[in-house]
Amino acid sequence: MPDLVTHLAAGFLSGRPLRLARSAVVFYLGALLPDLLSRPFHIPFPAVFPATQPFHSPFVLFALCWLAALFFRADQRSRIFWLLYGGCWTHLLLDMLQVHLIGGYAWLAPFSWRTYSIGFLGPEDFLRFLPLSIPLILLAFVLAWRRGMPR
Amino acid sequence: MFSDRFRILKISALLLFILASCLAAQLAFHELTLEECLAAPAAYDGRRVPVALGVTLGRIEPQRFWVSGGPAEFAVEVPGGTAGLNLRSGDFFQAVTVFRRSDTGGYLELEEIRPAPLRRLKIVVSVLPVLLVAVLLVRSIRLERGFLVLRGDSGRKGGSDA
Repeated sequence: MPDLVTHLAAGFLSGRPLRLARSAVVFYLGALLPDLLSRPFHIPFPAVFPATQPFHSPFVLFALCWLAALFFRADQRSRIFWLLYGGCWTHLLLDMLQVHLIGGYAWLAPFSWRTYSIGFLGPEDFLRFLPLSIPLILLAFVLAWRRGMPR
Repeated sequence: MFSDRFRILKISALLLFILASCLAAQLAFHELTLEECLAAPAAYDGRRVPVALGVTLGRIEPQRFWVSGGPAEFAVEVPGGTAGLNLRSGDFFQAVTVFRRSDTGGYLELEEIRPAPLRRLKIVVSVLPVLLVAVLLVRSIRLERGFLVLRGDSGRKGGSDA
């Protein structure tokens, strides 16, 4: 999987045409969500890696974003869901570009455990874009911060 | 889908679905280990054994390298020698190996290896976006009568803040 700087930069770039304004932060959260739910578990405890694989499945993420939306005020739930889920898709599509020596992502989990990947970029190749992606995420932060100013 | 009707039921069902998916994945994704091969060498002779999941390179010798970070250190034989593979002790890696039966039980032979020398950098730089989004979330979301509310978002009127 690419690093989270790349994922947030991709979320920022793909969210720009949508003119998300103040709700952009929810889209950004979605762009990080699959790794936020898996890495804190499988990096310190590699044995639980399989259990975190469903967090890279569109079906499980659909349920997760729906679940998260239900904790918001009723009139905002639909928008929160689509923003989160949209952000998750930017993550999944970027991950799909990665080449895997072992396995890939179980896109159809929990209905099938077969793994898929288009695979032409190594997991560390994305780090080459850091000189570009770090300024991009800082710009995303500044813009989202300014839009969040209370009126 | 998003109404308050049966909200607790929906939350419970979704939680159950997610937890069941994780549990099923843990049970479904089983990869052969060296320990399993050594327990029945004849049965696993010639089978592929992936070596990954948090392991690092230990000692590098001309014909083999050692794998650290797992329950016990073990060696992987490299038929063509380790020179030219760009292996560096301490680096994370992923490898596909083949189990070979021997008089002493058996050993792993390297088929393909992919070192990940920048994995630690990847983990460290990933902290920055998490912090940035966390700060924005704290600033953008408030709690109102038991529900989360996105500040400045007009809900169904949607997009008026754009």
